Amino acid sequence: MSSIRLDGVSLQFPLYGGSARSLRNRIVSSATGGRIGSDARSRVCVEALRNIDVGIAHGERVALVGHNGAGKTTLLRVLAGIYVPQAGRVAVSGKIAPLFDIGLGMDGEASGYDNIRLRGLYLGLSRRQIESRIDEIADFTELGGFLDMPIRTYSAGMQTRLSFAICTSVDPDVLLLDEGILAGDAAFMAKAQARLAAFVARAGILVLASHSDSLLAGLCTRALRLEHGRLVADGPLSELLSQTPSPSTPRRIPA
Amino acid sequence: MSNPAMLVHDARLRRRHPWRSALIDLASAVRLAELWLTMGWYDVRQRYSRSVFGPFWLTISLAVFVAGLGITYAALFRVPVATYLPYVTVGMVLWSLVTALLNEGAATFTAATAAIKQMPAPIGIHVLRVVWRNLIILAHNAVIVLAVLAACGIKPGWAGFAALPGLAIVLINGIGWSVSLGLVGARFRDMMPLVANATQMLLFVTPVLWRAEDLGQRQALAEFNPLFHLIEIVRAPLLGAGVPMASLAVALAFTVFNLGVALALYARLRWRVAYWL
Repeated sequence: MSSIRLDGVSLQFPLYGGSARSLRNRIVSSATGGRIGSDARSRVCVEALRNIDVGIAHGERVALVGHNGAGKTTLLRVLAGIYVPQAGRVAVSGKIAPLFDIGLGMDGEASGYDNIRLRGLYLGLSRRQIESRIDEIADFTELGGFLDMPIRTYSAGMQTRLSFAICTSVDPDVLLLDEGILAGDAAFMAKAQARLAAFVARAGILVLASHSDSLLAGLCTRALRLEHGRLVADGPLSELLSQTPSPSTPRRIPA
Repeated sequence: MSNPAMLVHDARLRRRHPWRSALIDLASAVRLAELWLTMGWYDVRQRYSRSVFGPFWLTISLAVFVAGLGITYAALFRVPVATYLPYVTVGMVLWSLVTALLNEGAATFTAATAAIKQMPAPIGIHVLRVVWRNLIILAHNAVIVLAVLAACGIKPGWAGFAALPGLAIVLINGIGWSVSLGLVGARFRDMMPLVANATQMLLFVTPVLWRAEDLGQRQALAEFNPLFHLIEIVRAPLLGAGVPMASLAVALAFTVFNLGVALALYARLRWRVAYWL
């Protein structure tokens, strides 16, 4: 049984400007002291998540919605165990497969096959388990001969195919997907959605951050709305989506 | 596979038991051996991916360097080539290991930004990967040492294997450097150029190109340099001089200090690395 439990999770990013990040400024500011020093030292923090309490049970498919910068990706990274919260507690049981930033791959110079091996090892497979699945993963990507080439030569869609194929082939209990992941061509999208539907049918936990209402409607049942790092709404997806203006509506930004 | 993994991050618990959680984290990094062994191997392969000689380029450039240096400096110091060349060869092979551990150690986490921000794993795997990668490169360079020792008629025999514990001590220090310099380097980006600068200077003050005895009255310059002792505990047995006990003692004391600093930093800063990258 998989489950996710967040209690009072808060997370702040220190913003190191061009000046505050270097050792020199630390030394110079501590040597001079006084007003200028403390000025140069003052840290600007971005509150990425604030006091998030949420529980996600076995079999739930949760959409993360909110404007750009609302904290969706940060929350996914907390669930994956990449960002350790400064306050609060996060507990996730089940085998986690995160899928963010596919554009980067694990190693741009390594071939597609080697990236399958690296990502598989990260996801907790042994080399032997990977070798036994590698043909199946390669088939799913439909990349053929490209798998022998360094992945820096891949297009974004090709990298998506590769990363998605690996992450969904490790039998995860908790699948964490960031927006932009499902940006392949139509044929691949259909395959990917079928694979996600099969995953959902096995009643794992899916957490998906996206701005695409139609994609979310097809896969998710529950939605969490984040605004400036706070959880402002939690409920059935259909209710949450109908409450709010479509994300494509332009927002006026005060100058 | 069947028993589900459990991820727990509790801010309060971590603050209460920083040492224990750091050691647990390190142990789980070591256990991911297949991952860091593969990454280190790919690193070496990739650096020379489209060159004809591959990693042997390192061997070639080091061989050319010590050949030129050996012949010229032997004349300069008025010592026979057959005694100077093996000394400088073994010294330079070890020096390039030590400086690579220091320089790449400072970039341990910044170089792994993409992986750290995409996949959860104890960041210690990147430390082990750096040290393992440099051990692979050392194995390539060892060819030069064997060739030069044979050519100059130096046969350390079984006593030469006494260099292996010394090498292990150097690599353990590499782990310490990679943790400490890597963590500070992730926060302060001046660390990398700073270390690069320092290692460049250290080559001239460490007995690698010349002997500690040549310092005469000022031998203290070498005696207080931990890098000298780290190199000496590997170099001396290879040249058939046995393990110098005084150097071994200093090297061990330095190792304890180095690992203590590394563990303290790892316990305090480990979890912040993802924020800094």
